[in-house]
This record gives sequence, structure tokens and C-alpha cells, in this order.
Amino acid sequence: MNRKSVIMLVILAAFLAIPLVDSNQYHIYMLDRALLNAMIASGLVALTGLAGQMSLGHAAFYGIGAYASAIVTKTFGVPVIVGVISAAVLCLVIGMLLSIPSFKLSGFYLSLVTISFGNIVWTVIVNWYSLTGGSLGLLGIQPIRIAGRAITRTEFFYLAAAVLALIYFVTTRMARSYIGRGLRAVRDDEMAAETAGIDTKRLKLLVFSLSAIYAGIAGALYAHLSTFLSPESFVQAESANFVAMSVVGGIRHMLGGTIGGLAVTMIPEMLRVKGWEIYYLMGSSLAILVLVIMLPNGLAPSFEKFIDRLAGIDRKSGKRQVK
Amino acid sequence: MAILKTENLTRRFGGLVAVNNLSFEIPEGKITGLIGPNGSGKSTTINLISGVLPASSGNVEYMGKRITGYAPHMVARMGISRTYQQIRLFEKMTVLENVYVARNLMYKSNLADVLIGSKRLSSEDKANEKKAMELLELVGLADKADELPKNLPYGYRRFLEIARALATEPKLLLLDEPAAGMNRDEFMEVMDLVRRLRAMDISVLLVEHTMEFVEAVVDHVVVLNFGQKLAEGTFAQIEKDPQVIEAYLGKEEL
Repeated sequence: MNRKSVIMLVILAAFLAIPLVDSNQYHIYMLDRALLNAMIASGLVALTGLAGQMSLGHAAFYGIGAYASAIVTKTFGVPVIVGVISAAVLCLVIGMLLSIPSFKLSGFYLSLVTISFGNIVWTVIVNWYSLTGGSLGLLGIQPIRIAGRAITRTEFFYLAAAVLALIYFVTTRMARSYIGRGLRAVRDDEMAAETAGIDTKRLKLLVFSLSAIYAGIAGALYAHLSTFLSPESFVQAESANFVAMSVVGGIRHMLGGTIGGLAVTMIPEMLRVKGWEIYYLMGSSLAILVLVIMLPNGLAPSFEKFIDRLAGIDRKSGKRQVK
Repeated sequence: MAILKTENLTRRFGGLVAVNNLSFEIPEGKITGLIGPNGSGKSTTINLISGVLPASSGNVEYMGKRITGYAPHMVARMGISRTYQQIRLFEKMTVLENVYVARNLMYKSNLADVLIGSKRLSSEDKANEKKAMELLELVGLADKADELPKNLPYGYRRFLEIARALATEPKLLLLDEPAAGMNRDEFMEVMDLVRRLRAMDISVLLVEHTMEFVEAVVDHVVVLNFGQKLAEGTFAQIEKDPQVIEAYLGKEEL
């Protein structure tokens, strides 16, 4: 094993040890949420960074996944895993449908379509009272259970980390394969990709559904973590927040979603200093602003550069990252 | 034998008829020149054949099969490849990847192969990367494989686009002004490359403005004017055709 992998593993181990050292339940809950956000941001890295497709509506998939799993488990009394799988399948289908406008539209126009999609889903959640509980919310969602008792927040942390690792694995495998090359070709020049024999519609369908599944799984896990759902968690601003995570993390880097999801979720929490609570959102927005200006490529490439320096790897001769 | 045939092919843009009832044939294994004054419909014809633009009416028949209305990637899969008048490369991918990605249509591996990292996938990767490298060698870009296209001189960008077009293993290659903007050395090289394509059994439709190029390489010429076929024949024949001279130079005032 080379030095770089060793350093990465040490950092990973240190991260995974946080809930063992810090027993503050709120901190662990926020870390759980950060991991869920990282799943969604990882989907956006694939969708936007790899394939060049914009979505400002992924809070909708987060919401669809959350309500789907909550409703399925509540109504049929099935185990949580069944709820999560049905959430993923539903998001797959709706993600495929949402990819259809991308066959004709791109850039701003596609963004508008995804914003409208997010608003439609949100409106349905608020108004379909009998199914979702409307603005009063959905109560009494079953938590994830092991050995007959509800999972702790620390255990949830490890579960979410494992799911995120799986998502990272799938995304990376795909990005480094011929499929990833095809997606990047679609991003760089769609017409040239088509005439080079690449079925661009099929690739868009694939990447939209993949990112929808990631968000749907994150939503489903969120439902069973909080055991309470309210439409406020799935408003338009959340979609923009997911995009901010992927950009701050590094939209062109495989670790961008993970690092961005963690950073953008945790930074506001760290700024909740006693006596200054009312300013924390302003402070965190400012932090995001500064990060985007200082590091337009995101945190992940700088993070990798830092690791390379620690490992003594020359950037020029070192292994290239997926661009 | 014709590898491709158009029948009454027509394309309208609003009131403008860019290609008007065009019927012509591209003979197999030959280089066919498609010439005509600016705006005579040459690029539109290539766009119609490659499926980039839908035809308003008429037909395109390739190896006896109607391909009108096919999506561009299907046209490419059937063996028709093209380059663009305005070079279109994948600018954030390396020179090698630009060609490698055009081998995607050769893959039999599916998503499951990708996720488990199957043997089939790695052997396909190996074969296709090798083929892409061979094509870079053919156009003289092998030593630039890891560069980004923006670091290539203009002429080489065109060679890269031709290499990418060859990566789909076409039987028919549509070249839209391959020598445009090239310096003298590059011009000679691209002419040589087009000749070599014929030796590789690839039929070529060549849109070109430089008569020196057309004269040197084509077996057969089709002349367009206002979207219609004006004349057809060998270069020597059309060079003397009074209608062709008139279209290019204007009518002589007597």
C-alpha cells in the first residue's frame, strides 16, 4: 500500500472515530445529516460535474424518498429496508421521467424545469393531506431497528457512512469506465458525442436516475432517522443548498460530494457560537462565498493536493484524478 | 455500387430551401467531392446524412437501407462518421480520450461489468485504448496523447477530429472542409491522409473549397448551387462545365 492510501485511511479512521470521542447527541445527529447530504451532493457531482446536466430540484427526490419510505413502512408495517428500496425504485422512475426534458434542454432552461419540478413535488407534499399530513407533518415513522431496539445516532452514523461508501464506489467505478468517458463527452459537446456513436439520451437517463436514487435513499434514511417529516425540509432552498455542497466540495472531483456535503452541513453548526447564534447563517453563507471565490475548483482538489504533499507525491508525475 | 444514395432530399429553414430535391450517389470505395459556392447547401447535406438535422422531405439510403430520421448515434453505429466545419472536440478530455470515447459503441460490457470490474470490461478497455492509440499514430498525434486539445495547434485539432471520426470504424466518412484554416504543411498532410483513407476501403464524401485539394484527391464530383445539384462528373468534366463556371464566377457580360 502506498503512502497516500495510508494517509487517506488514517483520515478516514479519524473521521469515523468522531462519534466515539464526542458524545454530544446533537453533534452526532448533525454528522448523520451531513452524511445524508453528502449522498445527494455525490449524485450532483455525477450529474453536473461528469455529465454537465443541471438540477436545482434535487430536494424533490430527497422528499419523495423520505415520504415514500415513511408512508410505505407506516401503511404496510414492513421493515425499513423495504421502505428504503421502494423509495429508491420510485426515485429511479421519476428520475428517468425528469431526464426527458434534458433531451431537448440544457443550461438555464433545464435548471428552470428542475426548479418547477421541485416546486410541484413540494406543493403535492403540502397539499396531499391524507397521505403526507400536509404542513402539519408526518409523525410516528418507525426508526431503524437492530435486535428489537431503535438504532442509536452513533449506529446510524456508521450505517450512513457505509451507504455513502457504497455510493462513492458505484460512482467512481462508473466515472472511470467507458460510461464515464461517454458522460464527459456529453458534457463537453453533446452533438459531437452523438455523431461519435454515443447514445446521449441513454446516458442522461442513466445519470439522472442515478442521482435521483442517491437522493431518494438519503431521504428515506432521513425519514427513519428523524421519525418525523415536515415539508419545510424539502423546500427549493434545500435544492440550492445541495448544489452549493457539490460546488464547494468540487464538482469535478470524485470526493467533491462527500467533502462538500460534510463541510457545508458542519460549517454553520461550528459557527453557532454562544451569544452570536442569530448570525450563524450569515456567517456560514459568507464562508461558502469565500470558499467558492478562493477555491473555484472546490475543497476536494485542494484536499487531494494536501494529501499528495504529505505523501511526497509530485503532482505532475502522480496519478491523475478523473477530470 | 453506391454506398449512399439521397432521393429528393429537401431541407427548409422557414422560407429558405437550403437543400432542394437533391438526389445523388456516393460510390463505394471512392472519394466523392461535394463542392459549390458558399450557402449552396453542402454542410446542410452532411447534417442531413449524419442525422444531425431532420430532413423536411426525401430519403437517405445507406447500403440499401433507408436511414432517414435515424438518430445521429444510430447513423454512426451503422458506419457513417463525420467531422465538422467548425471543429468540435471534447475540450476537457485528453487527446487520447477524445478518440477512446468514440470506441464506446464497440463495448459489449454492461453496467454490471462496470460495477464489478469484470474481465470482459478490462479486455475491452485494453483493446479499445490500443485502437485509439493506433489512430493517433495514423494522424501523427501519438506523442500528444495526454495533452488537452486546446494545447494543439489548429491543424492538429482537425487531425484529432478525423482520428475520432475513424474510431467508430466507418465505411463512409463525411469530411466538412478538412483543410480549412490549415497552413501549407498541414494542408499537404491532410490531403495525404484522405488518400490513405481510400486505401483503407473507406468511402469519403469531401466538402472542400480548395480546388487544388479536390482536383488532387477526388474520383467524382457533385456540384451544388442553391441547394440543387448543378453538375456531376469527374473533376476534368465539371471544371469545363459552363454552368459550374457561371455559378462560381458569375455570368460573363457580353
